Amino acid sequence: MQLHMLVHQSQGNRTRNAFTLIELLVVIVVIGVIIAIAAPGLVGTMGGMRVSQAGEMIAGEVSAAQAAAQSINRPIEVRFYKVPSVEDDLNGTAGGSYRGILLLEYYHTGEVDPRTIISGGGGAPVFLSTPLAVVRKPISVLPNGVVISEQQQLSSLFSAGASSTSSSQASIPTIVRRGTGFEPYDLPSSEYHSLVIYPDSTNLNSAGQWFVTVVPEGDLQKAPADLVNFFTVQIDPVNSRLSLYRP
Amino acid sequence: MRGFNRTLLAKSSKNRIPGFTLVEVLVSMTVLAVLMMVVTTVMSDVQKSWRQANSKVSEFREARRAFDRMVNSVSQAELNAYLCYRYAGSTDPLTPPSKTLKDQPSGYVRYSELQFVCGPSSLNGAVKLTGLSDSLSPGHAVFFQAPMGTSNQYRLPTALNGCGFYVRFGDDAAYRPPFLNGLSKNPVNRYRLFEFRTPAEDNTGYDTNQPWYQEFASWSRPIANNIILLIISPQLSNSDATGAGGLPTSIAPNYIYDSRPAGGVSSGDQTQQEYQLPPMVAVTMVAIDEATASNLELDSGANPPLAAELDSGNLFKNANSYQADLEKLEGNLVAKRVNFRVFTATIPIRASKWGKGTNS
Repeated sequence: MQLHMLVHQSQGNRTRNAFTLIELLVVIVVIGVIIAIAAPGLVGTMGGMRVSQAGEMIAGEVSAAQAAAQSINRPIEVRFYKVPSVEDDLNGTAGGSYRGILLLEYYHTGEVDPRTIISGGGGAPVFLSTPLAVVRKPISVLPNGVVISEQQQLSSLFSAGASSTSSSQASIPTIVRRGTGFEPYDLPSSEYHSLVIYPDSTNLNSAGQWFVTVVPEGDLQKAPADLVNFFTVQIDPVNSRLSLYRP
Repeated sequence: MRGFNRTLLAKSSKNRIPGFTLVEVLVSMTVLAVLMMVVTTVMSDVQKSWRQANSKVSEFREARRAFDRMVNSVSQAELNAYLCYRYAGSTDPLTPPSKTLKDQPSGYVRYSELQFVCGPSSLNGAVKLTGLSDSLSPGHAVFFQAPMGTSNQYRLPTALNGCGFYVRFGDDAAYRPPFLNGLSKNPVNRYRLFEFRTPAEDNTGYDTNQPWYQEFASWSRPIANNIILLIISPQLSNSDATGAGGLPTSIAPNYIYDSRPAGGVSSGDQTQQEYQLPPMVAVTMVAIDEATASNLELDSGANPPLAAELDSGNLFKNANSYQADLEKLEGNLVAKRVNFRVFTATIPIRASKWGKGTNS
């Protein structure tokens, strides 16, 4: 009798102890459905976050330039460079897209050469015969997957009518401070767009509206009206106020 | 028999250990789900308050920057007043009635081609400022000339510019990047602080026939969002005021100050305000935060909100009741649960050479 009960009990336990294949399949299907529902939203959110992060980075760099221009009372140039992404390197695509921002102190012709101030120490000041740019900060690169659009409607700062410069001024010597001296700076490319920020204004034409727009890399060719994810940084040409726009 | 029993027991205990029952798994999943929900709520709360704090800081950062810019340019106001001959017998004291020897000048008169003018923005009488309605442009406006060197054509670091500041309510359709209009993104209605600045080549400050700031709208740009009020009060320094036996606000008791008299040089004694810059200007600016402003826009849309709180018909008309008016406004805003900040500064005007007027 005892034996019979034991056998019965153990059999009952065996049927309850493990999952059946059906149960497992149901769970896996449910998990799959949940992931399928959540994934597009999650990807969108992540993309949106990256775009805002990049936009805020540009705004941060420009306000850093403004602060620097005011504190040292000197024009600061903000340059936008093409920087190849990791994928571009792998694919061997030349150039890349506009993703790098470089801040430089800008010295006009006729100003005292900063190189002679530091190293000279007592010598007669040497005046510049050509403009000179001194790098203030290593180049900052936008996060992966986002780029600054080159379309004129989205980035008027990159249009031909802007007073920003391109490769024509690439001959301006660009140097960087190292310790007590200066060294030539290795530019990422000869082609760039730039604006100069003065202590209380900019070099931009006051009649225009000047802005750059950050978009996901995949949306580079999209028409402005089809954009769902963007971050626009606008800079006022007269008072250099920044305005940010996002959908 | 005993051996069989033992093996059976061992087998059954072996089977009982691995694997949870469906009920156990469900219970644990429920607990996990509840925990995750709690964590998500906390996280989203933290994120929300972080975003709020962040927006508050950045909002008032813009206001602070605009205020600094305003203080800086008002302090550089310039009038370049000089003394010239006065001809007593003429209808215009500056020109001799005829070119005979008898028409000798009777004395000196202080004169300037430039102008400093401030007062309620909606003012539209003998002294005209923006002339916008009280609801569109609450508070005061100021217009003056300053050597700011703004120019599209020349690099002249001290070229004279027409400058000015006022608050105006409106949308940003004209200022924002044009492609946003194609995205059917609604324009944003806000109170904004505007800076009027004519480039040197477009400055018509020499024109005495009409206000040179008449075209203020075409040379103005917003410098900060969510500024709901601007108060400009020309004042004497405390020592000057006690010397004159009056209050510091006695030079502009109604906040109205115009360095250029409506009828030109007065034929009798010149008043102190005539062709003189005020020695000090007290500037007050009230900013609200973006969260409040966007809530207000949900309620009032394209109509100016906070009209009852700003009470433009009664507040800030008399410079002597400035403190009481400011307290009243603050009370109104607190009652409406508006998050605001008041910026004040008393700006000494460097170019002011305050002194008595000349006699006829």
